Amino acid sequence: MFKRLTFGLLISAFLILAACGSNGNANSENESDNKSADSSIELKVSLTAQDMSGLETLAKQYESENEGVTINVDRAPDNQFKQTLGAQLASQEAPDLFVQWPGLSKIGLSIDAGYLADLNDVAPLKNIDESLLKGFSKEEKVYGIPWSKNYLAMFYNKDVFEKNQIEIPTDWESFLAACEKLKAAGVTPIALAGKEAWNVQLPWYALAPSTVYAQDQDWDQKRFDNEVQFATSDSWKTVAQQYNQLFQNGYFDENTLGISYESAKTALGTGQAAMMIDGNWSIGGYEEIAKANNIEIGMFALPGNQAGEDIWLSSAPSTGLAVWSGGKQQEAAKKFLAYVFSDENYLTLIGPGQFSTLKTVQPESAEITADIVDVVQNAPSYQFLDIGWPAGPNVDAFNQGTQAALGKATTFEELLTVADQSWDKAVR
Amino acid sequence: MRHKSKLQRVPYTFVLPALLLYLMFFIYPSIQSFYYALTDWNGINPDFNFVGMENFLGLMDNMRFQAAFKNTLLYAVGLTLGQAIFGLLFALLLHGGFKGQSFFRSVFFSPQIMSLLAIGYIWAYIYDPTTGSLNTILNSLGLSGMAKNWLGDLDLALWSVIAVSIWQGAGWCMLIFLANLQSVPKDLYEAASIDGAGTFKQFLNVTFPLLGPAITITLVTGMINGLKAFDLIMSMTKGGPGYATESISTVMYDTAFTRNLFGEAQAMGMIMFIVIFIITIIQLTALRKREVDV
Amino acid sequence: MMRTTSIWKSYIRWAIVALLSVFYLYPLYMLTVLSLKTNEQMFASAFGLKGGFHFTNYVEAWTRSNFGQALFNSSLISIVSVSFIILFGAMASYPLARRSGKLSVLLSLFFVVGLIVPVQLNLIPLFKMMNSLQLNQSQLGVILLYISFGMPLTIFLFSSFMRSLPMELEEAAQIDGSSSVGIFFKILLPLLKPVAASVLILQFLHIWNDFFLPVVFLNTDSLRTVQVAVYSFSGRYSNDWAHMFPMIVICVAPVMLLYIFLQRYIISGIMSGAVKG
Repeated sequence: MFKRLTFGLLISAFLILAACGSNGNANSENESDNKSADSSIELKVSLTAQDMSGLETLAKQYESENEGVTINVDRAPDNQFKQTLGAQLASQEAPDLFVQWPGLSKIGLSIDAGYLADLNDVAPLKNIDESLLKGFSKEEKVYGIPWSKNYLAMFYNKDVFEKNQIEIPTDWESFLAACEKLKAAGVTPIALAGKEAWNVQLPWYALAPSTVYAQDQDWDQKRFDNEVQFATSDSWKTVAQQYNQLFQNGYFDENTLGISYESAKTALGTGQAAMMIDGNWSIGGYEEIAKANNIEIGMFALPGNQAGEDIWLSSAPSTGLAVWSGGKQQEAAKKFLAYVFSDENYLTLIGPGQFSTLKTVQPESAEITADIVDVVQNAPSYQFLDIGWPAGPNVDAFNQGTQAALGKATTFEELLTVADQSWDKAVR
Repeated sequence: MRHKSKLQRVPYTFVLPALLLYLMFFIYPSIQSFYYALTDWNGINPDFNFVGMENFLGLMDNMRFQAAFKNTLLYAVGLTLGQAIFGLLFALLLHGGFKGQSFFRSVFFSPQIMSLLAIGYIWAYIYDPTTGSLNTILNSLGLSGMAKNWLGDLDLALWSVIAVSIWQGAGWCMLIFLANLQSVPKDLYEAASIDGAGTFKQFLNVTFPLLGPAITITLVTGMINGLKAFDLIMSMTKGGPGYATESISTVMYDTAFTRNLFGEAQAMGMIMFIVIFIITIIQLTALRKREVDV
Repeated sequence: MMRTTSIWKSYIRWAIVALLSVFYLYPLYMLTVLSLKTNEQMFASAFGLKGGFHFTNYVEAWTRSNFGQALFNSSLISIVSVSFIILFGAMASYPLARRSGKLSVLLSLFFVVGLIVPVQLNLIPLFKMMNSLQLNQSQLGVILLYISFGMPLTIFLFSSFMRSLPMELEEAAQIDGSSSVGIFFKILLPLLKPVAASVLILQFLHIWNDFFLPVVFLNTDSLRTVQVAVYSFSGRYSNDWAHMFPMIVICVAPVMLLYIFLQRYIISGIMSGAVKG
């Protein structure tokens, strides 16, 4: 019985293998046919799992409007996407269009390697807020187009705030007062998802703009020039102290380091916790949580500022689309890029609940954003910290390092020294 | 051992298909990538420089790597011993005419057939300090003192992950021990019980010495798997909190693909290879010797 | 007196086994229950009993990830790869087990190295090579990789098993005038069936559950495998559990059946194979 099974398996395996081989050949023949015929264009687009949810729809639409064009879109989770793209670029076999992250240590590396096409002649570029293009540019040239605008916010349970008669805080003191009141009422003031390093870093991102960058927008450049340091800078010490205050006063759950993102969201929904820090990209999830628990959720900017000073928002471009400079179809790729970023297609591209990077298109703002919309539109803002930084300090000090501080293995102030060391090592 | 055979020598051509594939798709890329350990390549830019041993020297004062190195050794030893002990226990319990034997064997083997990532997700859920079932059960049994922040406590997190890896691996060890137990001759047992030896004594004197081969396999494969630990950690803690559960593999992955320090990551890979190689050789020699002695 | 103690003993044994198996069955129960929850209900209760069951999760996830195609692709790749792993592995083990020269020892050690090196860091050179061979985005390419990576463990197990086999049969066949090829296929290969069963299940599990190679080399829609389909529901900050868990459950089912079918071979395979090594 077993013998026959093995034998059968082997025979069929040989047959299938032969078929696979010939299939592969057939495919490559087709490809070369395509390349030789001038009229047909094949574009390959690689995306991360969630970005630009409408791109597939637009690709189909574009194919039907432009005869001879085929567009293949594939997606992978972030890590696998990065890993695959790296290998593809290194072996000169990359997709025509792909996602890039803003910042020196991210898209900057691909720009330096000469892998990206200059996009300055892509028409919709002029409609995009210049500050959002900074993270994708080098020496006046733009290499990636951000598809959405992100900012950080405190998501709060409106029912809990109302029950405890708390107004939206607008400066640090009133924020602390609100937390104290919630704590006294037996509610966890802030559901920090301490198990996720990225969530632990967000308070730094949200607090630093109002203290560090409100005073000195060129702080990062000065750090590069070695004129300043984290550990000796009063403004950074203030930020570390603020985070420390939240922790020492017991405004996070006592088990915070074990709490996952989903678990924290559940606590917010059920009213066990009152606030949670997150990005606007997650609005959809909070709307669902609100609906499921029959409550209302709102958003406000975490106020790191002293009374009477301006509140600064932490805001940054999302990932952007870039064109491979080694591609044979660069013009076609740019044409498609202009198509998806055109005013009439843009809203399809970004999907519901996202914020526009185009000055010419404003999506309807969701109800959940009512309290924050004024700050988003009018308040000064500073980008997410890692965009202007080398890779290293962010991980070592502000996400996994901060977990260690929350576990009392180190202090928030010591993290600033760690950040300096990590920075110096990265730029050496 | 092997008796002089009249058998004609088997031609080495039989090795060719395996050897060619292995050389081409495994050895050749490995050698190429080991070269990167001596460069400052960032994994992206085609231009890079030869830096000699700098990447290796840099690891000496890399706190994260050192934490990971220590964790990895603990993980490997914990996993290896834990899964061998539980595997042996399961095997002894499910050996020899036990009702429902094959059902229970399948139950204990079942984690083997799931992907480690999926197992990690499920256990992370069970470990959740507030809504997870583990703490909920402990609390309702009146054992609140034992309810812990399983994955969030800096001192406990690594052990919580190790516990899951033991849970996952014990079934595999059980199978190996079961197979070995079947080869223990029955008359040895009978002789022992006529002598009036108790069950435990019988195990210690008769069975255990004959389990040498199974012990070799479980210890060697356990150490190799433990030293390469990656998937379970990624899905349960991503190396956190802090560096409490970082392993060499997770740090290596992050160094290569998040920090774009490809050369440094390769140096870590190289060190991992050397460590595993040495440990495996020591184990194999020591255990084989013991088998022969017995 | 003797009798009652032994009955008591068996009760105690049964109780211990039952207790231990709770630790094994509970996570499986959890997986099944969670696969029937919406994302919002997922963390609402510790035992997953609140808030109804949503069988539509399965249907939605199946269609959205084109899971039928993925199941077919995974089955194809796993079956073909495992068949050749067994064939090539057995062939290679034959001289390694039957010859005792230095070359044989060296080759055996050379293959053991493959158990140790982490494959992930070989990605970039591997990718370049696959491109130059035009094997990127082809199932054949991934199959070749699986066969190559499967050799070390397979040869380790097969050759130690073969060493434990008596040589008399082969000697007799040789006297009858059979060639070594004839001996291998007619005599040795059938004798390998127990250890082949354990190699089969081990390698099948490994290939079936692998995410690393397919996501790099088969990231075209029509070529994706089951694990790629499962992780298409994982996101940057949180995962779409309501669709991921059902797919995980479906992924386990085929391997479970294979395991149940091969169970008795596996035990006898390990017994007569590796352990005697």
